Amino acid sequence: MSLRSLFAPLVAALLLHAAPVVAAEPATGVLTRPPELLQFVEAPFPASEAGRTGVVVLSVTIGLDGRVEEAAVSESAGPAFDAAAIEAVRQFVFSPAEVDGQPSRIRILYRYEFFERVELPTTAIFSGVVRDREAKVPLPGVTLTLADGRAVVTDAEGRFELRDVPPGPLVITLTGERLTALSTEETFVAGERLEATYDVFLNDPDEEGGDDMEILITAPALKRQVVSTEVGAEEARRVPGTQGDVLRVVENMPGVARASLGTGALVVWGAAPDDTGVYVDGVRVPRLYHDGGLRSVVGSDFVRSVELVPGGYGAGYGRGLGGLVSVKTARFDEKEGVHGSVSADLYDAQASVHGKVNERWDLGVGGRYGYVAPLLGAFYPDVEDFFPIPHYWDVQGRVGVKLRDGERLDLTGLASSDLTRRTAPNPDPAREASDEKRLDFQRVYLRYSRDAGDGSSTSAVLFGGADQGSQVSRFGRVETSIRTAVVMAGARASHRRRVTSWFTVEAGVDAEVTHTTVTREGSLAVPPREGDIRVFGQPPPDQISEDRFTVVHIHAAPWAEADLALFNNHLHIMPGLRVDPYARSVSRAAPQVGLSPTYGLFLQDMQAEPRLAVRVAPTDTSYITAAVGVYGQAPQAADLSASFGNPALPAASGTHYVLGGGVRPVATLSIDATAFYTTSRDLAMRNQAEQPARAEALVASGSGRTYGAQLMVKLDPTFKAYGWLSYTLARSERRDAPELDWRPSDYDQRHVLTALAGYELPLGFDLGLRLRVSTGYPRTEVVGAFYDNRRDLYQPVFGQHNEQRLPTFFQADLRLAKRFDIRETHLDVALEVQNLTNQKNVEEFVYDANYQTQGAIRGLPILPVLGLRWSF
Amino acid sequence: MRACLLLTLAGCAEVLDDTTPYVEEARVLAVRMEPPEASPGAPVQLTALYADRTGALDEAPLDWAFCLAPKPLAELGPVAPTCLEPGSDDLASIGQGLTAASTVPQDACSLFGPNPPPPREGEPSGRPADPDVTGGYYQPVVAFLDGGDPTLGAVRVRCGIANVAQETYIAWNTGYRDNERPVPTGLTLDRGGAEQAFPADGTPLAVAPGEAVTLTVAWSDCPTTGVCGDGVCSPDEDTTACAEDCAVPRGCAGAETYLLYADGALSTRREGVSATWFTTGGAFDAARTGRPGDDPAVTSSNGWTAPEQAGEVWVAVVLRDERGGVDFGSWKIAVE
Repeated sequence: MSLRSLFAPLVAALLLHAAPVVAAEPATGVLTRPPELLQFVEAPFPASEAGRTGVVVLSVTIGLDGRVEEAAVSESAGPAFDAAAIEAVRQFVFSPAEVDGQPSRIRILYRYEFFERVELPTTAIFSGVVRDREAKVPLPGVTLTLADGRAVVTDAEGRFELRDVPPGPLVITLTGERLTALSTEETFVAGERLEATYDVFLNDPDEEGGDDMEILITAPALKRQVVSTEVGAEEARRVPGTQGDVLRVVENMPGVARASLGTGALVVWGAAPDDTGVYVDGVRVPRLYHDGGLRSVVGSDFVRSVELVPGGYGAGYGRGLGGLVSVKTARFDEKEGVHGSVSADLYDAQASVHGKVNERWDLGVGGRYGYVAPLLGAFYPDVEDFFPIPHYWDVQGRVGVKLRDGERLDLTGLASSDLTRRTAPNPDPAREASDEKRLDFQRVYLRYSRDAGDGSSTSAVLFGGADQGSQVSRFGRVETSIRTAVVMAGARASHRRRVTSWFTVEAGVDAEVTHTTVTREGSLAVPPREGDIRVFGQPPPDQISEDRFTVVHIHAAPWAEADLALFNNHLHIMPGLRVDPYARSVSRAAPQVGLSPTYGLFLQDMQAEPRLAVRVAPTDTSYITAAVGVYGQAPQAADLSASFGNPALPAASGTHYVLGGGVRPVATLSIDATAFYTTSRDLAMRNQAEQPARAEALVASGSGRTYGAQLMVKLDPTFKAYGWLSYTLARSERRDAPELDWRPSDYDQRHVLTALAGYELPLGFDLGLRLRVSTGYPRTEVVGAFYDNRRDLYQPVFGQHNEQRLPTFFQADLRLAKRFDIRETHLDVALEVQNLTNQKNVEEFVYDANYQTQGAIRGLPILPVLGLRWSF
Repeated sequence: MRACLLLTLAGCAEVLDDTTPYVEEARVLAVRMEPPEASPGAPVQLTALYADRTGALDEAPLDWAFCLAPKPLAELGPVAPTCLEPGSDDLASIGQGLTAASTVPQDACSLFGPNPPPPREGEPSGRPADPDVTGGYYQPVVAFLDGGDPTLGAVRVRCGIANVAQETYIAWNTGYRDNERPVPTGLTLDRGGAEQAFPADGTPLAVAPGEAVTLTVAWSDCPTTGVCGDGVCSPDEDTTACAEDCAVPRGCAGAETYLLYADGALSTRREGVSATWFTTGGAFDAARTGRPGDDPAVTSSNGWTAPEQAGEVWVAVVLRDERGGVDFGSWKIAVE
């Protein structure tokens, strides 16, 4: 940008360079030394002549002392120019002229030009706004410090402006209350104004790894996790295909396989869904999504952000061979007044209200009820005779109190319920089939947090809860059921201390006790396990068993982690160690034999899990990371059955190797790539022995490995546009026993590509598009069938294990939203069109009765879903 | 027919027709075991219902064999895979043709029942087989058609019950009656309210081309409670209480009531009966029909639409009870 102004004209240059000085009278001698201008006075540019130029020629008489004795207009440029020129010239001082070697008065002509001068700028202006990323409200009091030491603090509107910023790249640091120092780099151009918008997550000091949770649009804070993807609530809400459900954004993140329709299973880096832990504020919950995958189990208004760490995570977490999903709940003390929302769409309705009671107390409640089942039932009374339709609800509640500055106590409750059932009527009662699956869970946790303000923090979470799950399948008179009732309690506490400016240490304990009652009846083959060779809809074997037992698991894992920040934060070395001693009690160690009394099993073991992560940042806009870690996972309680499993199954273990890097070529664009290799061993598999011993239906003979790479290109949601492209290439393999060959695992999805983009249109419209392409999951080909006379069934004959695949999946989703401002409230109307191209994706293979013809279950057709959300 | 059930939430499921009722190529439709339940060492005869587009055939290129290999626990199919391979060492041939006869292997209850499997050197005691929902164990038998395609049959083996108190075992052993197969006692044809029974001499009944009728198969009506003198030795009768019925324990060729040990106690349960329908022409509404155990009816009906072409159509019904009993009957319909 150039600045136009009407400043004084360049006079001296004219004199010195053009030097049209004309010696005039008296010409009584020879001019031996011309006068030399010693003092120049700039004439002010006449305001009345703005936009014009002028040339005034003056007749100037210079005295013996060199001062101007007289000045008169010789050529006029107008009164204003003339007067200004005369006024200036009269103040000139010359060296005396000499004639014939003697000082002499002299008269000369002086040409004085007036013209507009463009002042070339030499500095830039830096201005903008800092906002709370979730609430989009301005943040006052945030200090932006430039590398040259100057600083500016945002005003009540969150705005800032700093002038005279030198051109070139400069590091900007943002600091403030509940905002961990963040750095970014901006490049300033002389004469230009840089208008920036920084949306930041306010730091939640009570949470472990609080600084990991910062999201700065133009410069993410240092992440402790070597590879992770975190998305804030507001951004996630806009993602097409999620119907505004914040947590469903996880399915778009790199490293996550696309779940089969209606499962909601979370497959991360090829690991089994149960291997990936889901935590809400550090408290483990059994699932992220309700049945069917339509909705998450935590209402969106209660979500602050969600982070997926597919592997290589730090020592604070364990008991899982796969990834980690960390949900951070919103805080209700950040805005004055009462707020909330009511929303509804095709699937469900939800409502929430939250706010500050006074300066210390805040609370919030929310809930959701899924009415898709009764809604469909009204139109299709027999709908559940053919399709599993999810019944679900969830509720959340929170009471928080500020104890002191930086010190809080929050009591939170979560509950979720799911029921899915299906009955397939048949004229032959022996073939009537039904399935019913239920999973309810409740959690209550008390969280204490303290931020000392000097980089040290303390947090403690005490939690308790219960899970009630059941899965009942019937085929004729063959009923298979598995029912679990879990009661759990635990604590997670940690303290972080910044020892020096370059050394931070954090230590904590992660303890959990679970008491699980398991009741199993029916076939060993149901529910199916990873690696089972079967086809969808295949009747289960009719040989049955039963078992009822209890399992008590006790874990108490101390852990410690350090962060050595070297070379001015360009190198971070983060070693960690987690020691997970555990004890297990199983009430029945062997199947009942005769009338002999049952006896139990008690075992204890310990696993040391070292972790190491290194992060190198050669520049402020690039980094390289690497991590390696050992992870462990206790067997599922249901697998510890003396009849259906093995009470003595050891904990499985695995190792993650991660190598990645990223660049930020421009402030709003980041590119992250990660290569990974994970191994697992001692996985519980079906016993391959021809004559297995009692209580050894499962053995820890399985191994797994996954290798691949993921890429994330992300345009941060600054200004009007946002979007990302995530791609994962992975190969997940299993080996059922050491003597067997490796095979593709049931969760092997080689290619997963998700591209999404959004743009804020005029008039408050928001348009988003999501494209997804993924390889189909493996299936085992049916190469024939034989007739089973006793059961009057054809039984499939299979080919190579998992060597067939479902066809490639493709889907495009479009979201068009419009916000209406109604007084101080907002009404968001969103129309989401799923499967825009009406792609007939194959979700599963099905077969006719004698396996001669293969058919398919296809995914959703084109489906518009209208959603309304009123927030206040 | 392929139908697509389209729902907003659940997607689109392709419904594939069950073509198994229609008989065209020669194949085994069912295997009848006589008796359907036998103790180890007892004789048993197996007969196939083997048919092609002309109806049941009197001869069949079948090779019969007992399977001698227990099913591995990791195998989710009904039989050890090696027993589906002709010539396998795990097979013991018992004959050829439409019918085969042999005796139930003496070790059937160890290989396929509740008794501990034969010990192997250096290995701990193996896991016995699990029973089916009726408490039954089965000796697999395989019939290879033309030395290739297998059909899996099974003879229910009386092995007793495991892991119970002695008095419970005695009570079960006293009250349990070996299964009898359900025998079709007749077939009727309903043409819009006019019901006709198929003549016992095999004379076909006539229908018009394309006519929709209802076929109903019947089986014996078995008593649900013991009544001395009814010809059936029920679980609550014995030689002392009713020598007339129980001197030679007799079952019933229908839906029997039998003694079952489940959930730690003995109880009685009535069999359900299923009917599998076959035809060489026309189309059935359903491939299978049946009655659950709590339904006292002794018939099962199925809609049948005659072919458009005139001619004689062969119809067969295979009845099965829950305990592995199988029998069948066939009739002819004249489309004219």
